[in-house]
Amino acid sequence: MKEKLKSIKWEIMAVVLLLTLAVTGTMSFLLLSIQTKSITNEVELRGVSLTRNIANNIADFLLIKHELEAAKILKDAMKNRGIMYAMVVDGNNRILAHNDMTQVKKEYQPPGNKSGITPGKNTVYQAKNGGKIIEFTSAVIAKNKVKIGVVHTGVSHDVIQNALRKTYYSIMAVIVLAVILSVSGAFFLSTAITKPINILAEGAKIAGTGDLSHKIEIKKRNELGLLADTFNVMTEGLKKAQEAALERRALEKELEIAWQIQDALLPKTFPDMGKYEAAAFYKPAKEIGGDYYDVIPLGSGRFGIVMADVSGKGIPAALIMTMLSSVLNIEARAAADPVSVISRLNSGLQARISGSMFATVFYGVLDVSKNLIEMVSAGHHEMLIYRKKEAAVEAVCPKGAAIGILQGGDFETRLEKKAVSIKAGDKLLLFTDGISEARAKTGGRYGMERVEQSLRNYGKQRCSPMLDGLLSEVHQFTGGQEQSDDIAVLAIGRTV
Amino acid sequence: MTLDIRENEESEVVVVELCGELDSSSVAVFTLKFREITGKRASKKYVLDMKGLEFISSAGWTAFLNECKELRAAGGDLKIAAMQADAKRVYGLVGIDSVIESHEAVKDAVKSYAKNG
Repeated sequence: MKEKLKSIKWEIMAVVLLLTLAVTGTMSFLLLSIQTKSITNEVELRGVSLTRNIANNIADFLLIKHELEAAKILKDAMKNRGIMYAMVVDGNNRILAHNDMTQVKKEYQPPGNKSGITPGKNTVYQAKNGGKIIEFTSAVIAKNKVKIGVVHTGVSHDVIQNALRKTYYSIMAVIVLAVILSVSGAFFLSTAITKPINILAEGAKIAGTGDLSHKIEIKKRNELGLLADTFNVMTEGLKKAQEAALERRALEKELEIAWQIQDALLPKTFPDMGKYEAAAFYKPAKEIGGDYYDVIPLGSGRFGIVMADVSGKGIPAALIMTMLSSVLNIEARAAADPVSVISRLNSGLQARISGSMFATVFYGVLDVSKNLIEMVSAGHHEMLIYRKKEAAVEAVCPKGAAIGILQGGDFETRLEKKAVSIKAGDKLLLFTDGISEARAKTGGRYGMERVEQSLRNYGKQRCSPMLDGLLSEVHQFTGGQEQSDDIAVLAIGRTV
Repeated sequence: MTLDIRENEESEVVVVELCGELDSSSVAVFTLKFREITGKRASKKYVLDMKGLEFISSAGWTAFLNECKELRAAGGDLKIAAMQADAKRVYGLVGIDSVIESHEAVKDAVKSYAKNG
């Protein structure tokens, strides 16, 4: 949509032009009126005074009928600028004397049609040839107080016009100059404004296409320069925000991949354990998790059963979890005694767990032919056993300390080994505290008692439905409230 | 999921009262406030009064272990007192008892500093 832009320049110039004309026009008008009045006044005064002089001088000559002298006075009067005629008219309207001797004795005719009165109360006539004439009169009174006649002098109105003409031209020149200067000034000033505005508009357009590195160059130290600077600051900020958003996206993507790698370490299917079955459930909290479970085939009908919980959350916990999984998988196969396995695990990880983090691990070696499980616990809470015959739940919690807390010998001496036998229908339940510490909306925690009760409720069933039942009870308790800890459960059951 | 921290100074030992729940959502609050307190004082001897702490998760214990490490590096120490039953269980189970000293009563914890000088 490309509209032809109507520049604001033209509006500004038009306004300036109108203003200039209005101001100069008004002032010219005033000036001309004043001048006209002044010149008219002067002309009248001169006319009146001239006419009176003629009247005074000519009176005596007319009285003694010195016609030549009288005519001379009138002729002299004609030397004055603008005088068209000078005459004396008697009481009978006859021309007694005239600057043009041929007019003597003729009847006086006004120079034209009366067209007005001057401010000084002299009559203005419109002559036949188009021009205007002001006629001045003055009574001719002789020495003996006898009125001989009236002097009529005619002054061309053009005198006034000619005097004004010079002023008129000067004013016109000034107006033209004023218009040129003001309009050019307006043009340059508005260009000085519209040019930066166009630069700004162009810059905004470029930024709009996504190029936020474009800088607007307006070097002026006025509001437009300020606008440009502010705009540049804004695009800089947007660019940084854009980069930060991209980084965040990249990081989220990496976290997603890291989670996938971690998730792959948690078995979804289990090795064939003969008459033993296994089922597991894992639900991480929002962020990447630190729980780990596993069933490690050790050969000869023996399996390493693992449930571990790394303290903390996020990437540090996930990294420790992966280390734990790797080392444990190796050590489980390297030593038969679970105490050795876990001691070696602690030695392997202790130096690598930074700061104050620790990991609790419940590790048991299940012997499917002996129907026996030998367990150690590195700081992990109890494993629950459902006894089918009694329809009751037992708890087994060997003493120990978490991985990463103690070193070498201190760690090993603290480990207690326990062993329990498993009957047909019995279930082993290993889990992390995400279940026992699951929180309801009202604030209460699920607690170990409830876990035991749920196990009692569903223990009769096969591992998979048993877990479903157990988890549904937990879900009912929490009311779907989001949990801040991972939930991991592993169930091992002896089917026959 | 709130945590209140109150402090009072007895002799040279600073007792910090914890109230509420300390889990992963309130651990940041604890760390921030505790460091504010330790930052203000020359004394590096602290006792955490856990009487009002209804719940503490592994994240909370990790935070305690961390602050203890920091204080020890500065020549001080951190002890805990008046743990509730659940906390006591985890304290022994995980093996924190071999790292951080605990007492039943706060005043015993405070006195224990004097014994060691």
